[in-house]
Amino acid sequence: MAANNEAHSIVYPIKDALNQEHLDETHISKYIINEYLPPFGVQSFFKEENYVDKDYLIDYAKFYSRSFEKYDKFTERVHFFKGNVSEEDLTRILTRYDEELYEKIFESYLGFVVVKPVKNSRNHKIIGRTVLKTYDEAVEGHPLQKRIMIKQKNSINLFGLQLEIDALPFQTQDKSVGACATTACWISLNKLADLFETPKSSLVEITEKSISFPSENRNFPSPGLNYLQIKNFYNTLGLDTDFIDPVSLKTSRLKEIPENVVEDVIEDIIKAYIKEFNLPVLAGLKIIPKDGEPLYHAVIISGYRHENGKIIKIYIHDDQIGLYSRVTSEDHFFSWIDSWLDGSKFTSVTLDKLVVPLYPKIRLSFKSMYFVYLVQYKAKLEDKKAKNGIDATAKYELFLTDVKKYKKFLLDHQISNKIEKLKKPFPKYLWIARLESADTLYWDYVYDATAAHAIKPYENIVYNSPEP
Amino acid sequence: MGFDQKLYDLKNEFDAPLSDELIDEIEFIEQTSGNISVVELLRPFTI
Repeated sequence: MAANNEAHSIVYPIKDALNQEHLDETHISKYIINEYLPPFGVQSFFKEENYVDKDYLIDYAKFYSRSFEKYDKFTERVHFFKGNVSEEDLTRILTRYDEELYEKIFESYLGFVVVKPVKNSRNHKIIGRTVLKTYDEAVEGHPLQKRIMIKQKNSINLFGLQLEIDALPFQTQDKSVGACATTACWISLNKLADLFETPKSSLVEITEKSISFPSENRNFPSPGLNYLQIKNFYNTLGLDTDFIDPVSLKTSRLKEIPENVVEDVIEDIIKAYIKEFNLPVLAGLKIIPKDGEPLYHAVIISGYRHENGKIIKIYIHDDQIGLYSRVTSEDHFFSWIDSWLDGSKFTSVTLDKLVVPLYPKIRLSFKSMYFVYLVQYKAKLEDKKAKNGIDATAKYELFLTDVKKYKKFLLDHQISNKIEKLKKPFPKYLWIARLESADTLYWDYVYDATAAHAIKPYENIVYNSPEP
Repeated sequence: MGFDQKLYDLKNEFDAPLSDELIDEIEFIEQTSGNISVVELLRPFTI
């Protein structure tokens, strides 16, 4: 919403975006303007001045307004467009509504960045709530690859024009009110509110709730939360959390499970939560500097790109790099290759732990389900598929879903005993072990994710089989 | 693609329930793996 002050809007060419009076030249603003937005064809932007951003307003009320230094309570919201949206277009549609022009603006809109009236330690403006269009599912030039991105519908009111962007909101770190883990929690909250109807909180509120589990550090300015404070924050929302140590899952495998079956455990975890459920996964990273002690950093895994289930890269919302930033790996994502390794300051980035905030009725943890999945499906398949004439690309995937999404999927597919299966009541949350290849769905084993144990499937679904 | 006998045979292999021995092993490994130390849990994310 805009304040009562007169709101000026001038359309600028994108080359001016990094000027000090607009986004300012920070690592993140340069990533957004020079790397992220150009593939979407960004050409211009305009500033909505005196914009009231709820997240910043709460931080202002609880923190900045009580500082001696004078801070503004209004922000600036910078909107980006592809194509040739001109100042005349904006003036014309605000003067007299024109359906054709509205369509043009709607199609050209790429989203916005809120610029806060506060500065970081290097005296650069801090970027607040950022909602920008994300990558498509199809990957240009790679017909066999697909992207699965975490996103949600964001409705944007621009001087009365209703616009929409499907994306996971992002913001950068504002160290006064919260460090990386606070920002990661904030990013996850946007999607959690969408999935579980949990309330949203500003950075200050997240830090306040987290530190009711105390640490030896100052509360504000926040030097950074630990794992237990992150868990404490999600507890305050009525959510539970799955803590996953991938190294431990890889090394403590069951007797009959060969090493190669568990080497891609991190990919299995990411697909398990993001493939269907689009659940943000918080990743704790260990970053080794060239000199000095290891540092710890928290980011949100916000998507992945795969070819027939094999993850090629993951996308992260990293408050020090930017939104949907790319990560590759040469060791199944135990070590990450990303922007932290640009330059000579850091030598390695490794994945430490994963934290998954969950609705408490999802009682069956990944770990419980994973061992059953390994023994009963993933490892067994390697043994059996050669002699059963099954497609060589066939593989099992384990993923979480809910009954609404799953029944809709079944409705759209040919399955055996379709009416009976669709009419049967299912638990609200489900773990699915699905056998599929590049072009064939074989079957699903469906587990009740609201149960405490995963000893036997609740149901199984066979695709493309003739009706009895 | 339709289902043939080979696929039904393959599916039967996956339909077989877990043995008691495997259930015991899974429960044991579940309890003994992935436990995170207090030191790790209290380490702050500072950057």
